[in-house]
Amino acid sequence: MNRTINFQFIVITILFSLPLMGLGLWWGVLLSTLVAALFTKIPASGRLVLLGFICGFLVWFLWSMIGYLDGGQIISQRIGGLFGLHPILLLVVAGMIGGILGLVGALAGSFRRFW
Amino acid sequence: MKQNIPSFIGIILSIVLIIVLNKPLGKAPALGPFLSPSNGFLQNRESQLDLSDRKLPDGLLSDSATVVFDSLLIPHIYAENLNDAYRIQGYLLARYRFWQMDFISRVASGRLSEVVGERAIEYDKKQRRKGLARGAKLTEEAWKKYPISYGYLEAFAEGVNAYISTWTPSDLPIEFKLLGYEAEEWTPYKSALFFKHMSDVLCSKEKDFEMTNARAILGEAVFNDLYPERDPESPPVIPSLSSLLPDQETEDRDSVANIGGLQRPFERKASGLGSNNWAVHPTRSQSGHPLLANDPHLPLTLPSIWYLVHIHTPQSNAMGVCFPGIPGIILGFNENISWGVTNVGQDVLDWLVVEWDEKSSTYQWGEETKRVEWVEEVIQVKGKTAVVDSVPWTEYGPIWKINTMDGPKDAIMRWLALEVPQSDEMSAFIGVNQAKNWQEFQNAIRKYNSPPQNFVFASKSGDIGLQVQGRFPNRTSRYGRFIETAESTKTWSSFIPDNEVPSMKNPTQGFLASANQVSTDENYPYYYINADFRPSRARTINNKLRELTKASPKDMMALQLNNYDAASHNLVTIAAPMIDLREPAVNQLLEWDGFYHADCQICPLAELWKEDLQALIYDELVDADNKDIEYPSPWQTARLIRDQPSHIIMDHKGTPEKDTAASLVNQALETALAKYNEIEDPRWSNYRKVRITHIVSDLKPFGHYDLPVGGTAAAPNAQQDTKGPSWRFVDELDDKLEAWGVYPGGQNGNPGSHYYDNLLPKWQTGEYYRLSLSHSPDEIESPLFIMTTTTSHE
Repeated sequence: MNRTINFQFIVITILFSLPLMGLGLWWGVLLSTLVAALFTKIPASGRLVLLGFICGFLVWFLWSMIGYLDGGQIISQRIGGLFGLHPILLLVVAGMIGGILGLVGALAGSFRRFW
Repeated sequence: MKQNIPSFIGIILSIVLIIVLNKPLGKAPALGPFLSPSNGFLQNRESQLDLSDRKLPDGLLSDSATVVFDSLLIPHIYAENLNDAYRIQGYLLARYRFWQMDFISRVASGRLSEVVGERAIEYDKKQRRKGLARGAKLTEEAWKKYPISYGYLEAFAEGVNAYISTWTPSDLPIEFKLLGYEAEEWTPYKSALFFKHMSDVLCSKEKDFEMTNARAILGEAVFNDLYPERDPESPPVIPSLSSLLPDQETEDRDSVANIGGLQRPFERKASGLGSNNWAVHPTRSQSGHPLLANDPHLPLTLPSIWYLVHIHTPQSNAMGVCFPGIPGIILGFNENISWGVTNVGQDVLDWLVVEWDEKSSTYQWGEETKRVEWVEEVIQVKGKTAVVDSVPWTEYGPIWKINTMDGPKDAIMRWLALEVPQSDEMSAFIGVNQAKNWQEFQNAIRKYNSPPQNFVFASKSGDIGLQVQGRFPNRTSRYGRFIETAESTKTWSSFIPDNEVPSMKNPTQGFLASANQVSTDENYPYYYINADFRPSRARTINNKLRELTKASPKDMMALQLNNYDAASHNLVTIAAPMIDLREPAVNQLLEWDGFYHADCQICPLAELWKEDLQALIYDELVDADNKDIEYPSPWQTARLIRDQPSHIIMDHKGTPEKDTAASLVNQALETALAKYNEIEDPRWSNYRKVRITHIVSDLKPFGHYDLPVGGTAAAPNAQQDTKGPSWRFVDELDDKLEAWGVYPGGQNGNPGSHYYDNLLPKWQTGEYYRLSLSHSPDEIESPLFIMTTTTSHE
């Protein structure tokens, strides 16, 4: 049961976040985990926080990694240099930002109906 | 309710996070949008360049057109008319260089604070007071009187705006994302701003403060010994003008007396900006065809100041480099001629001490009382409230506050670059692009005003020529060499007539060369002032060209890359007999050939010694509180050492005994040697450290550092730490329609692209790319991609 819910959460997050971010909404992943949490009704818990973080991280990190491998090495190296970071570490930092966005979105979506 | 507390916390955190990540943190960009994989920095990656064939935008052009990009990403534009060609040029420059265009227009107009914040306020105030934006507005108005060439500017702007109108936030150049601001529309006014920017770079230099200070310190007699108006040994740009022109009546006059300790209200442009160009007559070339070479020395930046382009229309077929921001080709070649420019080092900016009254807004112009116009400059500042600066303008220019030894004074800055152009200036380069011979070339460049340039020319028909072109004040003798007073009787009120600017075609010597040296010999009847004449490169180039009786393109390239510094070598040679010290390093210096190659190990000693020697000889001029002094030239120093070793200036004021040239030469060598021995790796390239930074030098990873290249400002390969040959070009005017060129950068201004700096390695090693003029798109070998259109403009 838990696995199904986890899976649902991940699928909803990805389905929502990719088009939202594609439209230029950089915080789309936050909105997506919020919707996913509302839909799957996972209560506020360590599991929800972790799921939100992992989903957000994966969306940002993997998407960035695809960009990096698709001709993004030069720009990643230069931007990494600006921040004093190795290019891969820069992608990890991007992933962390996605993770935090996912985390707080999921937490916000833990709203339990009381009416 | 209690169970929803985490959700409320999450909602609050979400809002806070979105706000925080959407704001720049100090100099860092807003991390949310910047690191976002969907529209952040990774959208500026190489693969986004899209090297597949595509259509030019519908509705932009009036006729069909094709653009073929060759393997270096050089666009070859084939259009049916000039307006379309310039629309496409604008479109492509927007695609590859828009941020640079936008930023330069902000630099010129004093609008940097809008994008970088309060740290640029003082810079913006200075730029506004200089009046570049005001000058650009007047210039644009003047250009409107010539609808055909103004139409080209409008077409160019249409092309730029057609491209940027398609942008989404993810398409913005990386610099916009880093600095966090939006692109704004391009207009012909911004093209005018670019012209003013180039005037600021090239012709805002004068020595009024330095000469006035030196004369006040040294007295008239010593001053005249040290600072002759002309270098007696410098070959002029135009070899001989004797009996070419009628004598002008000139009147010797003095300027403001007993004033000194002057400080310019802003930092003077550093020396070292200049260029080389020359043309060799067919009688002195190996192939029997004329040769032309040009290498402008400018600040080296990434993106480069140049963009290579080939424009083919029924009216013209030309290739070369253009400025991102201006339609047409600035330097290059067409099917019949080849051309290039160097900067004219004449002084076109005067300072006039003025008495004025702020309350009544009036100033004294000799006996006359005139009104000051107040201009409110509103400087928008990113994240802060706007700053207002009220600038008093006189009929002759803005009023600045200057420091003197008698306390603060006011001075008018009268600068020719701010005068309204009196000709169809925009059509000058358009005309040059189409010119077929010297006559057509001259007709085109006569419309060119500012910044003044030495235009070199060669044609397939075998002619060579050189013209010192620009608008030059018709001065009375010595007027403007020093700080002047605001008086109508003294100032200049006319210009040197167009047909009397120095010019020469096919001289008997078989070549013509300019390298920022004095424009003419002493027979030229008009008075002009040395703002930045530099004789050294011209000597080396003239000597070499005189030796080359069978010159080839390879010889031209070798001369552009020549690292011989005639000024330093001359100084060492003249001082050598006086040197008593005998150490291995000193022996090496004495045997040195004068070449500043990248791996030269003794060159740092030559530089250190020269600096220390000048500081010792001219100790009277050294003033820690005032940077506005200038030592006499190394050539004049060498002449003094050779001819007047006991000149009064040699007596060092810090010692009781009477110094001579010999004692100072040895003393300077001792101190220089001590410094030299502390250098770990004395190779010249390691000591001097050449760098090519991004236009925003804070963006260090976007630049290249410690480049292993030789040369000095006084060598034909005029390389300095941040300035140097920004474009090297050689052409043999035969039937092949080919030339050679290279610049230190790349066609794409995007730091995420391979084409950002792919031309740099060849520039660094002194190699060139072959540039070919084609007649049709099919002639381009291995194109990267092609852009076409079939639709028409309404």
